[in-house]
Amino acid sequence: MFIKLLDKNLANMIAAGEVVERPSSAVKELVENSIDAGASIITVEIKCGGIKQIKVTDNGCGIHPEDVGNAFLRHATSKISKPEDLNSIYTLGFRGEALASIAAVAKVSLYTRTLEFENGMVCNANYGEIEDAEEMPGFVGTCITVNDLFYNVPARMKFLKKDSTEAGYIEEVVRKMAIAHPEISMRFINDGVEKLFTPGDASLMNTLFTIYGKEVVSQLRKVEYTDGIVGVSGVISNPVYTKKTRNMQTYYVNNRPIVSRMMMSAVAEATTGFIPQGAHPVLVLKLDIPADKIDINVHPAKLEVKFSEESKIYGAVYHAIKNAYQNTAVMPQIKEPEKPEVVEASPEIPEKTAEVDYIAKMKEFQATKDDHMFVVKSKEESTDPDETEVSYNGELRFGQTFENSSQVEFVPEDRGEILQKNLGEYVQLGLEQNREIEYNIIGQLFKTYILVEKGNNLLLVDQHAAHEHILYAELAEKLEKREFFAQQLLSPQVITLMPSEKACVLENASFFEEIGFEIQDFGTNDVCVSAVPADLESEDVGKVISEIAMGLTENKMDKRTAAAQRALYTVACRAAIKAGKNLGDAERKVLVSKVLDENKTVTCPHGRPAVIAIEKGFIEKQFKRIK
Amino acid sequence: MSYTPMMQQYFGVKENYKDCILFYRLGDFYEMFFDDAETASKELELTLTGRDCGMEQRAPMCGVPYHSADGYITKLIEKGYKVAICEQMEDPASVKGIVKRDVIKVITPSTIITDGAVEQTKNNFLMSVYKKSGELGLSFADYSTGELYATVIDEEIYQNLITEISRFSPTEAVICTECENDLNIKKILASFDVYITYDKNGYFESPREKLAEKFGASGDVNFDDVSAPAVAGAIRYIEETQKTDISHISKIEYYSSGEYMNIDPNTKRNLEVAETMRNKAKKGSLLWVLDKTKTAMGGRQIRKWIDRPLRSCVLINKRLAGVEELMGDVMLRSEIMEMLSGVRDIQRLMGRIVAKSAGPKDLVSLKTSLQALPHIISRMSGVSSNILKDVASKMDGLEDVADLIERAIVDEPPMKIKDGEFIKKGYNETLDTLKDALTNSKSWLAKMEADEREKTGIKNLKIRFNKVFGYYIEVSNSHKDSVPETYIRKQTLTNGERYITAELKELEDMILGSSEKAISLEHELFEEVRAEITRHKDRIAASAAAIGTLDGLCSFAEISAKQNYCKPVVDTSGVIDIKQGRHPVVEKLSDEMFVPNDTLLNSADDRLLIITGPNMAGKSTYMRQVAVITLMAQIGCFVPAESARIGIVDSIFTRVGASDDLASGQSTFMVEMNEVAHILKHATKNSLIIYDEIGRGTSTYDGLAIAWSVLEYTADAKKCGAKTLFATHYHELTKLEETIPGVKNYCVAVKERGEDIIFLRKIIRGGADDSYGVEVARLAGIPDKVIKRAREILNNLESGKETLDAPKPKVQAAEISFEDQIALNLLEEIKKMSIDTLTPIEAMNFLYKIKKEIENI
Repeated sequence: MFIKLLDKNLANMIAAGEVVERPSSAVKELVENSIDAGASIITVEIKCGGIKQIKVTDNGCGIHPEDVGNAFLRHATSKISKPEDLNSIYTLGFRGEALASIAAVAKVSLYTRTLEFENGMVCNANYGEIEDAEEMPGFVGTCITVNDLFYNVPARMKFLKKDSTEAGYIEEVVRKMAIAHPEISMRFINDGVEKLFTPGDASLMNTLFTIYGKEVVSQLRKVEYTDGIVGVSGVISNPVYTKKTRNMQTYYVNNRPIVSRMMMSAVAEATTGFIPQGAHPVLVLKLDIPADKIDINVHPAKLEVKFSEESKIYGAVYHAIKNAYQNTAVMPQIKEPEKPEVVEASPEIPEKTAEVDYIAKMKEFQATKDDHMFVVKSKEESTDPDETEVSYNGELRFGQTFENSSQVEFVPEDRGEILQKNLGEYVQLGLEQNREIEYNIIGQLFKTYILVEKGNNLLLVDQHAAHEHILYAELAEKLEKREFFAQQLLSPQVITLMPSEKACVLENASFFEEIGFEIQDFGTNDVCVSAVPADLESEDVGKVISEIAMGLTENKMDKRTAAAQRALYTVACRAAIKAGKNLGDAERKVLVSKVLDENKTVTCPHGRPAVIAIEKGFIEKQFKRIK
Repeated sequence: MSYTPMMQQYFGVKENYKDCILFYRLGDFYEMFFDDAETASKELELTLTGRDCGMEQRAPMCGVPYHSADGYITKLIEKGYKVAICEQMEDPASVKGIVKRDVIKVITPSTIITDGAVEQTKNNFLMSVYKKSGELGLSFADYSTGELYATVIDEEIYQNLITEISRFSPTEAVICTECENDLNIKKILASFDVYITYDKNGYFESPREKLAEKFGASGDVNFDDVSAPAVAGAIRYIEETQKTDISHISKIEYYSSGEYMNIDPNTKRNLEVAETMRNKAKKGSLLWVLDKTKTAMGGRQIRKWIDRPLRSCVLINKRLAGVEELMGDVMLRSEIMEMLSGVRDIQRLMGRIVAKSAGPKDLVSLKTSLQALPHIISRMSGVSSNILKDVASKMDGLEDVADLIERAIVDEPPMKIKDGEFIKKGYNETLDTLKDALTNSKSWLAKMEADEREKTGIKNLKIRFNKVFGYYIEVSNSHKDSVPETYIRKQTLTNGERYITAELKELEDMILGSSEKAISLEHELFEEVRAEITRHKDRIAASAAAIGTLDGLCSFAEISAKQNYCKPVVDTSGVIDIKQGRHPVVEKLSDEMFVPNDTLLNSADDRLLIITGPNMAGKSTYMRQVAVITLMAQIGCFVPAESARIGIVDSIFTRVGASDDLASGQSTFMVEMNEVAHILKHATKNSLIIYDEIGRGTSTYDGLAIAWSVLEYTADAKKCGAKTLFATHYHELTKLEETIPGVKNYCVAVKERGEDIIFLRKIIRGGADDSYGVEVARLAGIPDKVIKRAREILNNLESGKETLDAPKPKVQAAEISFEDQIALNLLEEIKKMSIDTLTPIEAMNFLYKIKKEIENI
């Protein structure tokens, strides 16, 4: 056994393993070539999941007759030629690997014709054996037919999934490319049935319309942002329209579909507070970055990229999404049929007196519970005005902080879907704030929800979620205005923490100060808390600090604003009225009025809605009063 | 013996309907007698029975049940019969003696309107023909949709009649007496399989009065000598046979032949415009490719557009603009097509509604169709092209009509309507009251049952109903003694008795009375609604027509987007310049990659293209694609090419394929010559001609001579000068490029690979040098031995070793005779010579003479 140079064919077969993992990889490579050729129409036809046949036809510029023989050679490409070119790759293909790899493991027939020549050329390759090219008349463009893929590598064949599964992967590949290039008309035909046809009229909306349908497209809004270097564009669905998985999310860098955990988490972070936990918006996110700031050559299938300035990218994505969501109020769901709303004059609700009562009552209640008396003390706070950087490590899991709380029920992830499924189009997760319509509080249900009749809707207000949100809004406002106030505890509390927690707390003492806590070391595993943000019950103080500490530990590189917000969520949640508590009339009134009359968003910071509305029509339908 | 009164009545009716199968209503059946019965029994596979008619022998009889008659009627119509429906005009119960009977309508091939009798995407036209002073007036009426067209043919009447019939495909024709005597017209109608009805009742008379009466004296009606009688004839015929309101035929659309491109039936067939040649199927035809319509009206509209390609650039471009807009906006197109799929056949529904043969289900169908209109109108509010704006403005939301039906008719009416239950609650107070009363009275009965039980103490006393006695009280035998005096015994059963009481009967009368009243009121209300809808027929018709146009344009846009067609530039330049053209049907059906080809035809240097090359190599497809692309451009659709400039043509002629018309006793060659004759007579310099190998079917030289001559004539701008594609096997003709101006050679590129040849399907300049006939034969599967021998013979022929020519008797005879003649003359002279009287000098002279003559030969 001596070390010998692999013969070319064998070498190709091995390399093919990396590049052509499965039919969809071959399709991806071929379609990328078509795009690089400037095609405006690309058709992908497959038989038996692509294993029996893949045919990619395009009307691009074609290959020069003299080059046709070289097309199948490894390391031969028209797309780069000098080392410097690697720094500025604008084409999708560049390695000179695709055709060679595919030809090594399949029977390939290449037809191609350029505009200048009357006729095209046909060149066949059989599992690495390249035949001579011959002249053949035809259309301008290229058509590559790949037959009997992997026939000569049975080991790879065995690893392939069912035809239908492989076809599914191919469809996804084509779909992602189609979305990246609305100016190209892409067709996908599976076993003779046309599955995809995009118009190629350069309109992203029209393209998405043909892929996702009218309902989705009507729920999309634009995403647009640039920081001068990085450009972010695309579309995202309204907060009320979400999916269980990230199936309908596509990410691109310079029009190349990629997988990026970093971008995904930036999106997740930006959408918290607008959508429920575990819900994912429909999203097309395109990043435009100068070619010298990224390295595509890292992954064999070019699926992942390395960014040279990750945090800038993260920030750009985060802000793009946040802007897209914040600029308009939450849209109501489509309901049918559209009937003009009856506008009635509404009497003024005497808020002030009720509010005072409410707060007094709250305080009373708190006071009876424990002996601590709260003194309100204002505190000026200065935060760094230039803090715009945002952390980007992984997803933020709020749900976990509540596992210990028995009173607050954790909402299942697919709640959005369940709601939609069960209650059909009549349930709105958002509520159009038509303040002219009078509302009428009916009562409290299960000691958790307040029932309100408003116009033609039955509203259910989740008292905990609503109060939580109100509190958070108040706290957040104060944080922003930098007029935070901590409430001094009359007798400081001693809290026992885990060693790591304590270390974290002490490390971030200033941070805790910002958000209204005063904590000092108290030896071994204890700390002493002398001030808290308003309205926390004593037993909660320790829990809150724990949770905030845990949050900080997990997200080591968290920057202050996000952490502060998260911390406030935690506080607000703890401090809010729990589910299962009886509320008196006045309390209900105040709560409801704060929700309906004041608030702009109606989901609690953890993403659970505070209000749902059931249309009268839906109820009537259930009783079969109407069809 | 004499016929029974009923039979006499029958004969009385039959007298007037001798040309129909008479459906004679007897109770629950339609019966046919005598000859009609025998025909029906045979055609409909029914049992032939008999009936006593007063004579010794029974009258042959055959019948069908009333409620399932429609299917049988349709069958008879399809088989080419007319059916007259004779109903009982009075209620038999109320009349002494024979009930009055009369024919209420005659169903003819062009006037059948039962649902499903006519294909949804086809019209069903009646044609009326009126001849006067060498001119023809034609009128086409579709009774099922209400459309009416009229035109005048003032020259080449037979030729143009063929063209018009080809455009409308009527199923029936009513012709004037002068036409009856015109054998040509009758032959033409027969060749198209059109059912002919003769003018028995003066259909064509007093046209002015008839038209004024029907259409008013508005300026829209042409009161001339030729078209007016034709229209009057059609109207009168329909009125007479249908005997009902035909107000949905409310306007005449005039057109002239010159508005549309001329395509004779052969060409239509050769190009497979609406059906394939092989099995007359829709799949595989141009119509199949272009028809992506969602409504019946759309389907008929596309067929109309294809049957009548336009010649006006303005109109063509108008359509193209609409197609372009719909192509560019995929969301608009998609949404409109989705909304259109909810629209039913409004035109035919209205036809039935106006003719009073519609039921509640039809009304509901109309309602759901109309309900789509407001959505379509609002979705189209932003359109920019003129034709789409037109369409949108012609559409009427018709919410009032839809609303009326919504309020009046229940959403899902029952199948049988004679028992009522199709009017919605809340529509009519009286009806609702009656129905309430009915419901109440039924509960009164229940109450009565309870009361009686209590009163009499009979626990299992029941109140029930049957058709014979009506409502009754039923008591079992064990209790019959407890029955009070007021009970009147009506029926005895094995285990009980049935009684009635005055009270019960009173209640019964009220119930049954109400029930009847309710049903008849429902029918009355239905009639009211129907009449009200009829009043809006013009609005509805306009919207329906607009939907047809919209659907057609969407269909063109959809297929143009999917198949990647381009917008043709249409003008009067006379230039046909196609870049990378493809055949729309072949590219769709073929698995292989379609090789696109360019085409350049004009009125100057590229007038006639000679195309040579082997068969099966794509010559025919290429030529057909040029014709089809031109046709598509002129119907306002995008075309399969990279780009196309189409100068409008006035007609397309084709002479393609070999089809023996054995039935009419013509051989292939004869048929071919007929078609060529037709073309040469009618083609102008603005026509497009396709000759596919003329000169076959006769000997080689004859064929070549004819082809040559036809080519010269066609290419001559003074004689014909049409743009022509001339495919031929006669390579000799390729030399004509050098001698005749406007002629260019093209051929199909072929690649030889050893023994094989590969068809490249590419059209290139130049003449082919070979027909590759033997190779093609080999490809076709001819046995090797035959091929080998053929190659041998071919070689010999080409090198001259063997000759095809027959012995040349005439030529040699001429040669021999000439020499012989001189010898014979000399012999004759010698014979005449009298040697006895010859002097030596004379003999010497004569010898010199002979020698000289012989030397001259």
